[in-house]
Amino acid sequence: MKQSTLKNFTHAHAWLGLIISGVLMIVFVCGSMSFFRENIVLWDMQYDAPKTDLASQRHQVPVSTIAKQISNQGHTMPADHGVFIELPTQAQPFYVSYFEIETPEGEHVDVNQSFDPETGQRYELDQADFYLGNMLYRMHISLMLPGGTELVGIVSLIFLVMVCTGTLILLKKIISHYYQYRVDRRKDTYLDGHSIIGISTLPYTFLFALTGVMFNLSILLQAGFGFAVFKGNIPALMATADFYAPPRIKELSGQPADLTLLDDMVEDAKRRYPEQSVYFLNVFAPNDQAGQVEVAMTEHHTLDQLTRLTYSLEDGRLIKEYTPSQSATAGTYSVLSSLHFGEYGGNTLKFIYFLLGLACCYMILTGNLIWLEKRENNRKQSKRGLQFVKAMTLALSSGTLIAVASTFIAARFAPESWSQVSLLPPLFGVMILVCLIHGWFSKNVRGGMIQQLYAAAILALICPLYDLIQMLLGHTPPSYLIVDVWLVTIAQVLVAGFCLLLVRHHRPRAKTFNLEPAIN
Amino acid sequence: MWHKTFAGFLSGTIVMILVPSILSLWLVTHINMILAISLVLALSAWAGVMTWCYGADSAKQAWKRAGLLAIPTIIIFVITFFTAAGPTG
Repeated sequence: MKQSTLKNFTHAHAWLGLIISGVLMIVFVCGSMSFFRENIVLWDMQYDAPKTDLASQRHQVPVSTIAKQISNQGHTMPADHGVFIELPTQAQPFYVSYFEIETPEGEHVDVNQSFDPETGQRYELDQADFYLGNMLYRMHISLMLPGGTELVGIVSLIFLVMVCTGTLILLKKIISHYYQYRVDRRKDTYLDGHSIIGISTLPYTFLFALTGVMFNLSILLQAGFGFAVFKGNIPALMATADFYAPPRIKELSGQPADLTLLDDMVEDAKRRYPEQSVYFLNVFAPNDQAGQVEVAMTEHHTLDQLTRLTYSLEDGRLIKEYTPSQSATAGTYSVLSSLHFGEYGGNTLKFIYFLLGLACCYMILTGNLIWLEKRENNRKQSKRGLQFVKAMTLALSSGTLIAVASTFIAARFAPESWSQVSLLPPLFGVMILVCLIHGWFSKNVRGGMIQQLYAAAILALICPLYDLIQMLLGHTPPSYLIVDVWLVTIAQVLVAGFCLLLVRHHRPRAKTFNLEPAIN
Repeated sequence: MWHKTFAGFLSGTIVMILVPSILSLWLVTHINMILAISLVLALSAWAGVMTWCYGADSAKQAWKRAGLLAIPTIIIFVITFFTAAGPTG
């Protein structure tokens, strides 16, 4: 490779990195925490609700009990929407239902309800009160901004370009640089750490950049392909690709449905796929015999995503079976999605993914620091421009860690009467703003980053310390002393450790003095 | 750098959409497989084209590289579009 090409790649890598680092940091920090999305909901609930002994649940009421309860509430439901019922799992040990209702004014309102798995009683629990896990996930996929999905898609594409340019920059010395970690020279420590982690996490970063583009920008491929090959007939394209299409109820019979059939459907699905477990039911037109039920099955430790069985609510007969692997396109999409979410490897893999996510945050932070310190030392650089870039970069990199830690504290300590939906997203934004102001007034980028990382570490340790004290005092409900809850606490401790590790690496070294006696 | 970005992005988009489309118009029975492969290769190629443009020494060279990929792809696609039957007949 020509020297000039290498220089161009290095320039592009640094320039693109600085531009996308803010969004990328939010995507990575929130995405890494989102591996434990359900765990965070459970962690959030432990002192508030529900007051049930989750560990001792042996007997579960059948799913038809839950469906009947929802049906008896007498809501008007749009015919093309299903009543979604998730069965209890270890990470979410109660029934959860989502559906949409139509008000007399014709407005559509989302409803979310949770049910005790032993008694079937509805919990006085609104999932919106335990919003943190879902907020972090939404932040990850769309930054909770209009057009955020597309923005994250573009950033993923540029991240993929950065993975390519980074690999090409190191290609010639990929082996020698991998074992090079020069601790004796300050600047190179970041660069070496950046290179080592970049090479080590290459399969992970490539996979996440590619799947990020696939989730958020493949609509471009789909639309372009649909017009170029199918002359605009997108339904024909979807039929060829054979993605799963949910049932569409065109006409209601007016006859009430027997919801006990749901239990027979669950049993039938288990009999057909004994190695899989029922994940959720989606009941379309639940109050009518013309309704249909989608039973989704899932299997641990495989890359195959959901197997879906569609049953009739008239007599419980099986209408359709669908597995993504029956189509090349849907199967590929499903495998790539499984690789992205890491569900197939259980908690162990999720934890490894979480650590790799933190490693990527290290790359973002060190990359920014290398670039900004270089500019700080350049006398020709506009001071005002650099100050702005520095403040923005600090706010969106180390500031993101502060913002996430603050939302955990708010979720734990804010009064129950405060809606998390209204509290957490603004708090996230305010903390970024505070970090921006702090970054603006920081004398140098390294000092600013160290202070922010210290603050993030302290904030990230508050909830684990509180939980530890509560546990020692015996105030933690025993049913919540489970791995699924502790994973969230451990993740917070690791974030704090990550910040302190970065502080240790970023702190300027003390000058060494030669203390040997002078020889005359 | 903005020139390199736009050149790479545009050319990458054209290549990413039209190359699988050309193949699909000729190999109608394999569209599903082409789409599946495109999910991995076409999206990676998009980033690959952008990377190639970033490797250019100047904005002019970046646009030349972009054109070198995009123009033949468009010409081949137009010919294929009007000659091959495709899935819609």
